[in-house]
Amino acid sequence: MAGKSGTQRLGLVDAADHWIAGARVDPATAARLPLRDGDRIIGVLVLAPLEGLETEADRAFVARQSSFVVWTGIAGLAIALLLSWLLARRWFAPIEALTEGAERIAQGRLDARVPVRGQDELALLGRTFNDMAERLDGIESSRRAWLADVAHELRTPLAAMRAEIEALQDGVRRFDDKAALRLHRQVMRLSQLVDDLRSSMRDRGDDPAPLVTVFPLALLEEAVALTRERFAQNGIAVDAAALEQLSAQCRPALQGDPRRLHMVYVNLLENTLSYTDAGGRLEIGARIEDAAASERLVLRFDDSAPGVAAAELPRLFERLFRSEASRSRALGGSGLGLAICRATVEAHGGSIVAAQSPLGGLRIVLTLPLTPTEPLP
Amino acid sequence: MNRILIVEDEDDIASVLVDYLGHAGYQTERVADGERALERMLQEPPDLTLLDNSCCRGWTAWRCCGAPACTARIR
Repeated sequence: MAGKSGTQRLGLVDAADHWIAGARVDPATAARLPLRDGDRIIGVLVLAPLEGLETEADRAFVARQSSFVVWTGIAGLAIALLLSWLLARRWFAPIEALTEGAERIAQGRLDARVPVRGQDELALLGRTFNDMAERLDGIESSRRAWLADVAHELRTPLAAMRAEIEALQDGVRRFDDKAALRLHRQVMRLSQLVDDLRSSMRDRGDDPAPLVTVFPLALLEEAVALTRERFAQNGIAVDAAALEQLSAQCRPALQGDPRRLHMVYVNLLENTLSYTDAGGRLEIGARIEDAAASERLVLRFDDSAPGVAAAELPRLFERLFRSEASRSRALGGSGLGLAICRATVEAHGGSIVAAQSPLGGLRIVLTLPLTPTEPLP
Repeated sequence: MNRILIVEDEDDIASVLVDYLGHAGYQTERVADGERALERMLQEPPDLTLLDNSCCRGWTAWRCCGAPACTARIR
């Protein structure tokens, strides 16, 4: 079908849409140009809309264009799909790695780590995951080391008892009061170790006691009074003048667990009783110090020889650590007393440190944060 | 008489060893730590040393003695 040229589409109608000249055009679809004489419309030029494409060249052009558009669309879609697949892989790879890592952790393989790339939220998650795995790994290996230490500590009294009993069976030794005493001592050592293990586990905060107002100076005086007789028996002089003086002036208080705090004092005093030569002395100092926000109580325990080697001081509060000197002296003690002290003091927000005492023995400095002091009336 | 040096920090275990070896007719000497053991081994070499390696720095003493070839590990 041939297209109509411009003149074939043009017609003229009068104001009432009656045909006058040119093409007969449907006035409803035509473009209209009114012809005026002054204000009056005398006729309308009408142009019929374009019907179909005008030449073969036009149609070929359109055909080329449309196939171009179709192919461009297909190519665009393919590229978009490929890109989205690549991007999705990039985005989902870290999630997959995290899932795998979490599964490995769940299987108990704590060496699992995930690769971390970039700075986005997923990288942050990956880093947090790795930190968590690292910490779990640390906890697990210190738990293993701790179990190995406990096994070793349990083994020693058992080996001693076994040797004693086998010597009795083999007739190398005869059972007498001394043998009974030695066996009893080893059994007591075992039960002390088990008791201390239990309380050191409890002190990890599994079973927090309700906090009440505690008067740490009064508690310490009580503990000193309880052990005074044993200090006298061991020939160790106790000088608690500074403590009595401070306690006469004020009554510092803190929120805590009086039973466990009492245990700390008893452990420290027992430590001095076990590791101070007869004829020695224990000096207890007490003062109140102003810290940034509140006051704190500083208690100092100084005893006389024997001391602890400087290199061993930082390890003194480790569970089951006993200094070489205390080992060869073969004096009771499970090696847990000071570890329990540290756990308790830290649970009260305080700190405990060991140093060499000018008296020749060990100095323990205990710092406890106080609630506002009540002056004595 | 053959002389045996016992290196052991646990008094009760050491005394049982002393009794056993004495019963078997050996002369024994006991020290409680590695340094003393080393001192004795160099001063007056015993015929045999029983060394507790889990404590008293037993291995250090053993190495300081030039790690003698005639060593048996008792588990």
